Amino acid sequence: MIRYAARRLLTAVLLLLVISFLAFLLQQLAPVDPAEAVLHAQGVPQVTSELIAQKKAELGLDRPLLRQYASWLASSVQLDFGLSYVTGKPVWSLLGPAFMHTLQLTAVSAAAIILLSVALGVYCALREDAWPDRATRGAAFLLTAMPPYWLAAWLVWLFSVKLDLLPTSGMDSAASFVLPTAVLAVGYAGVYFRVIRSSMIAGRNEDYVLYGRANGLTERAITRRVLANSLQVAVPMFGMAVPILLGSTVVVENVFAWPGLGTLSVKAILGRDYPVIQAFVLLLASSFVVFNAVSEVLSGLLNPRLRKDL
Amino acid sequence: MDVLEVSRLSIAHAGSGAAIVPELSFCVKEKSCLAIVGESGSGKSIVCKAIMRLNGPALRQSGSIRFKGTELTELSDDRIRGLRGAQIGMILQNGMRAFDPGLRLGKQLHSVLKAHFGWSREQSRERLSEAMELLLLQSPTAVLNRYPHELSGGMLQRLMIALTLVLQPELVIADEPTTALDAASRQEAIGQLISLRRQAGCSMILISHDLSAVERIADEVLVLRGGMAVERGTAAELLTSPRHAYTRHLVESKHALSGRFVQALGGRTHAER
Repeated sequence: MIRYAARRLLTAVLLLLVISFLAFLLQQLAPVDPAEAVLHAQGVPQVTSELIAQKKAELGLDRPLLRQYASWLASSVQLDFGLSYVTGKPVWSLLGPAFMHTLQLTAVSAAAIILLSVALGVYCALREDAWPDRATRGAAFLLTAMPPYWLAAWLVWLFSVKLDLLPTSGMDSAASFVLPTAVLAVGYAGVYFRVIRSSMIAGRNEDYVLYGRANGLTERAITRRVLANSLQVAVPMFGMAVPILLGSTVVVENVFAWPGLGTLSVKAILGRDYPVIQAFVLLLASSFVVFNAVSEVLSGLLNPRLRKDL
Repeated sequence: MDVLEVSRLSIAHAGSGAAIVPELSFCVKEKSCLAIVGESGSGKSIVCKAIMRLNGPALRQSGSIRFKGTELTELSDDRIRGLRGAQIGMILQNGMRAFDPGLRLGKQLHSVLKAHFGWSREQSRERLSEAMELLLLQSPTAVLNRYPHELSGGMLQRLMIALTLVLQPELVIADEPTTALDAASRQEAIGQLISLRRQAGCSMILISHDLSAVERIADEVLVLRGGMAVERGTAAELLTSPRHAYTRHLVESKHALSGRFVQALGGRTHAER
């Protein structure tokens, strides 16, 4: 198991290197000259070609590409992504807090998604095609079909305006998490619980379930085993949900004025703030790689057959 | 004395009402082995699952199933569960699929023994090792530490037999125990089943279409077709002089198959060697 985990982590590191190189190239492909952009950002009134050349040398942009990549990578690892073209502030001073805010929302939502999917999946699988199963699937279908901003608006109207229970926006207290989390969780759990439900239903027809029953095991013990095997399908799915959430909270963040990555990245893209976009891409891609590795290690724990092949 | 008396058992689809087993009666004598023979789809497995109430809500059954004088169809689900494994045991066809792929074998077998006898892990391990040694399984401790995918189908089959040996049920239902095995493991499995019968002193229902296994293990044979008994009798008389056309067909196709097998091996028969 330790060897398996070590290999997964080594692959993850290699993948991170490739991704960081691609993110680095992004700036090279941008139509804006970085030196010029920095000068603008620093509020230099008259940008001359001498100033640009001077800045290029200062930023090391006249060096060979790989050397530039190496020094960029070295500073990126220390979370130094340079200066924002738009505000002139260090990128991490903008991205860092936003990332932490989105990460908090993502963590709470992911926990809600996992709990909800597993609970509903098991509940429905045990009542396959009876009315509680049908009703749950129907409700989930309706809720996932609603656009998130629309659902968000309804929830705000009901819980904030009518009932006055929860804040409409911002990130001030634990109560602020409830509505954004609800909107995110409904969208994802509504799809994921079906995966757990159907893999549990398929799992119940396996021979080991029949043999367990024939040996007098309780239904509860058998359900636990079927669930453990169904989670093999679900763990990679949940693992990927976290980075997908990180990158796709834009709508929810905008509706609830959440000071997170979604809000920041949209601003950066519209303002062509390349260093911020670059850092955002790198951050998101890294979290994909990290969560992928984590879910692979977890899958290995659940499924002994995986540990051998890889 | 009969261990099991099944009378007027009928099984049908709950939805459509289509009959799978129209009406079947048979009994298993104490310490004897009844083979239920028939092609796939003849209802053999469903009949045996019906005895242990394992068929699920998609099938509806009626009739009487008496086990050692107790009417099983009247027992509560909890009582039936207590009987499964401990009084009526089952050995499945495919060892590779009969165990949970995610748990070590020792842990799976222990959970069964714990449920019935409340044994500790050490007690289970000790008793299983004894049984495995009786069945000539090498290094029991190592085997119990393995996951199912690390062992062969034949080994897993023997593990099921070892568990049955520890549980000591009165009646063992072996559902196609030799079908999924290669020729060498099949002979071994037949030997194991014979020694299981001897060691545990149990009665047995052998579901099979492997007539050579039936010949070696069973005392009596019931031939099933479309859920109906077409012929029954002792193994010796039924396999040598089948009366019903269907049984004759089964016996002849077995002879034809083994004849072709001998031909393929170079035409040498037993006598020539």
